[in-house]
Amino acid sequence: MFKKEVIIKNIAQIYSLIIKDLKLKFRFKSEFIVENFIPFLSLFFPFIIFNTLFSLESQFFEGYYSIDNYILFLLLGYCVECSIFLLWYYQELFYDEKIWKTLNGLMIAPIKKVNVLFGFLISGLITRSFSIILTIIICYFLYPIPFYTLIIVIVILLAIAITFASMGFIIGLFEIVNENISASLSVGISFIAIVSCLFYPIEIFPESVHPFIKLNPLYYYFDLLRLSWWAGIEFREAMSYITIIHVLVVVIFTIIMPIIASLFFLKIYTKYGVSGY
Amino acid sequence: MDENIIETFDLTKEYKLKTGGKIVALNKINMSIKKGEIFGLLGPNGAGKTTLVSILSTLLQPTSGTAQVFGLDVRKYPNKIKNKIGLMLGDEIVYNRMTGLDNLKFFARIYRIKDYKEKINQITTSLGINHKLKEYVSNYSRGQKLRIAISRVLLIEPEVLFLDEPLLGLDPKTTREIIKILFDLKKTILLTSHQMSIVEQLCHRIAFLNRGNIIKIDTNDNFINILMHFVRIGINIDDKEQKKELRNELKNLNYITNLKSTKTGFIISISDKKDYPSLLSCLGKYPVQKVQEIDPTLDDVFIELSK
Repeated sequence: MFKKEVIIKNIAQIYSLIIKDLKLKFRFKSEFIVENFIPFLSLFFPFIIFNTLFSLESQFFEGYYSIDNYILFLLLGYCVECSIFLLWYYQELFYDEKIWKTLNGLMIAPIKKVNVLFGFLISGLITRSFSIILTIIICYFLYPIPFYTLIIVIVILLAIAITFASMGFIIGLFEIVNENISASLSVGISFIAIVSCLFYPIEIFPESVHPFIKLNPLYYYFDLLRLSWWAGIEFREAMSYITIIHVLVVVIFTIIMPIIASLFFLKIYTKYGVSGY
Repeated sequence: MDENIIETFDLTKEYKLKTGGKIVALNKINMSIKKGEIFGLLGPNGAGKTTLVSILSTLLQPTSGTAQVFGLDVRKYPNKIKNKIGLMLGDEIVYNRMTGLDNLKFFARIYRIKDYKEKINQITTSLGINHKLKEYVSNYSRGQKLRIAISRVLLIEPEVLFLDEPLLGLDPKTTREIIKILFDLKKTILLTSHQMSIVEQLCHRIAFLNRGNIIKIDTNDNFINILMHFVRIGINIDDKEQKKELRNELKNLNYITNLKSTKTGFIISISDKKDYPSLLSCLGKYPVQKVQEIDPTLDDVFIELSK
């Protein structure tokens, strides 16, 4: 099933997509600064809000958010924020390729759509790599954890990136086929991303809303990410919050989302082709 | 040159309109292209040429009917077909924000071409673009971009080439050079164009496509024969009264297939050069300043072929 030749072919294709994308993206080098430093600003307001709340009371919310860990969680939220752009990344890429009229070159090539997804995912992460690595180093310095726990956190971060990328791939597909649908999907998915408790605890919402938030798969990703790091510090407390649903949602969605996105892309693109330029 | 490499059977592509209707981009197209043949698809803008190429190159799916490339159904075996074909859509599919070399390297890696550096060097040298490879494509002229686009297609060594308007907007010298390059390839080529002169020079057989219908498929020689008989003439006449009278007289001549008024006079089409003397004797009665033969347009040829 996994022949060496096939694996090498797929890796070579992904590699060539990464190189191409980076060369296009950093045709002008200042892009790197914009990509890596501007998102830092998004930390500013949550930090002020949480700092004020926790200065009033050290355990302002129920649950595991406290004065001891909120900086860590904000920084981890920022790590996710660095990959949240993947939701719109494919939309931008495919729009550019559509306008440049280079898209058919990719579509005519004997390349699996899942390779396109991962090629652009990795190039996207590389563009933000400086921010992500720096933030993880800061977290590690402020809240040291065992090395294996750090690996688990990085794996969860990758799972988040893969899921965002798969969702973004579908939005990107509609950027090619029908920009109206792409715009609507973009709004819908943005809403899902916002109501996912990325920077804040679920307790910030009224209790009546909690069941709806718990229907959002992204909530489990972010919760598991925070709790995994916290488990490296306060193992018992963190484990009391981690449920089997957290693990199942993350594992299942991370595996099926790229497959669904690739199949969906293949089906819809060949049926409707490029429109709107 | 007997084996059919490309075949279509009642190939139809329809697009639904928001208003509820539909556009038939291709209407029951039946055609075949043999191995080693250069086949020209001629038609005006919106004739369905690009749609046909997109379906044959597996980018689009037909609404009904079938298309086969190498005997493989384009719907069922797109990946097998993709490995053997090259697609060139004018100077599209070339990244302006990368150098020519980076463009070629990218596609070479995607197609897993061995020793691609040597091949890139060989192909670009033969196409006379080697000296520009390290420059950004955005600095290239259109002719140079086309050469990179052709290099890209040749690099992947396809068995069949689909070339959509490959020579659009080129100067005559570059056009001649690229026609020679394409001819020397000795490959099966499906070429679309709305320039008759290009298709005439390059293709073994030609199909005329208009509004999704194939009007005629024939050999290049037979088409040239048709066009040789077909004459388009510009007539200059200043006198307004005389112009009116001449117009009425020309209208009554049954061998005139098309008559258009212009600021300076008329443009008429006649279907056979044997009617020339009769026309000239008619024009002799009027104060005509100039009579000049003009190359027939696609419209003229379609009118002629549609008869």
